[in-house]
Amino acid sequence: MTTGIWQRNMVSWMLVVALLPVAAALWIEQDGAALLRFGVALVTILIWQAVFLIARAQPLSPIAVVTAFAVALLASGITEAWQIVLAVSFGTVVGEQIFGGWGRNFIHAGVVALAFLYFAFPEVAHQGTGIWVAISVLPGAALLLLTGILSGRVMIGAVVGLVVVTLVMGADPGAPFLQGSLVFGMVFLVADPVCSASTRGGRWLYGGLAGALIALLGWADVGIAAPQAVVFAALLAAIFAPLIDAGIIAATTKQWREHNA
Amino acid sequence: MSALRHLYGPIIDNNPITLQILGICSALAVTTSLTTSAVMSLALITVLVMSSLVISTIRRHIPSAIRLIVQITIIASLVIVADQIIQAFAFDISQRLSIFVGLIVTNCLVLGRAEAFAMQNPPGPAVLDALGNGLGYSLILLIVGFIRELLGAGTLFGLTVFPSVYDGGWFTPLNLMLLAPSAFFILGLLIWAIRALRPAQIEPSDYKIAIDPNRRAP
Repeated sequence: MTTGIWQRNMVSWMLVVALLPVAAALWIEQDGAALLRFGVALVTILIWQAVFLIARAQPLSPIAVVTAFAVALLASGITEAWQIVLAVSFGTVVGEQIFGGWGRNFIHAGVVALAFLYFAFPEVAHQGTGIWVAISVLPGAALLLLTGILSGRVMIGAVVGLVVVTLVMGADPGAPFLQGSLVFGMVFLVADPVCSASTRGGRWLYGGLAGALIALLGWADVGIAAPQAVVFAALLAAIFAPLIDAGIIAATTKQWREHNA
Repeated sequence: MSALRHLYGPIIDNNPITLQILGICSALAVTTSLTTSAVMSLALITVLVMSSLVISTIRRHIPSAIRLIVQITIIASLVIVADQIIQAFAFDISQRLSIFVGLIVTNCLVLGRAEAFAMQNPPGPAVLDALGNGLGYSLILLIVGFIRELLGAGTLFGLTVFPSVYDGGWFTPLNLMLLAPSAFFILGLLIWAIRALRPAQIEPSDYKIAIDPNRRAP
């Protein structure tokens, strides 16, 4: 993507636009507390982006808004600003900037920051968001699907994986889709265009793995309403994404050789 | 003076953990507190120096076909002695170190120095090299242990530095620091810092990022 309008920053601006309805829904559900978390996280990320701009000439990216919003939405229990500053610094530096900035990372900076928060402060209880956030994710998801930023294969794979494992575990397959934090995480963290698998078959596998992990962690461990399930599922699935891609590419090239012989 | 290079070379320039990436397993496991880091460092320095001395002294008598077996026998005997001494004089620390003193036998660092240095050099330089590597290992272990205990529990050597919120103080301990991944992060950041200061340690990259000469986009 070096020519035309679909450059790196355009993709991240589209992700920001897709967030707008979710931001409105979050404002209705939680008022100013979420805005405070968002502001602290955004300022922290922008400072780190400026540091890496000066030190390593890595361009600033609007993806800061998406990362900050993910932290604001999914870390609802955090009340102290320094905890957010610490976790978001860790997430954006270790998860994104040291790889060369957004687009070269292999795990979502927001997922790293959230996992840091959940592990570092395990006594803080985070509550999920409700049905309004779940509904408000849909227009953004449709926009991203139409522009090709969000992969339909990953989304369908994730939904199938989630429903199948939920049914296997004997729970209500409709319940996860009413949880705002879970639907948000599936669209913006699991199906992130940078960190998800990028081969055709790999996307099905990756989506299925992420969906299955959400259901497994949600129903068996923290509870389907808690945001931890979707964050840890996104973290684990993203770690496996390069392996899945490599496997699919190896299988495909092997198939070519057999045909040619 | 050149003999002293064997001593101070491995402390930062050729550090066993941050440059050679050896002995990571124990560095992750025992650094939850400064006390265990210090005891582990002492045990490793003792075993490393003694084994290098013994192996270097008898290096001309070890048949090369079975040299690894002989080296491991010597190292394992010394580790058992070290383990017994720790159990006798510091039983609770021995419990906290659990298996990791015993695992010095399989620590790549000890066998690596025996194989790479003590087998080819006389006892004097071999002891200096072992001591240098042991000190380099200890330095990293103590730095990681310091950060993890201070931020994870607010204490140093078990003494309170930052009073934690559980005891009515102000410091919220970072639980993450007591888990193994934090040692990975600290080691990684430490390697980053050392290589930023000493660019000679940076390895050549495996792949180059190609930049299109006609590229117009930002």
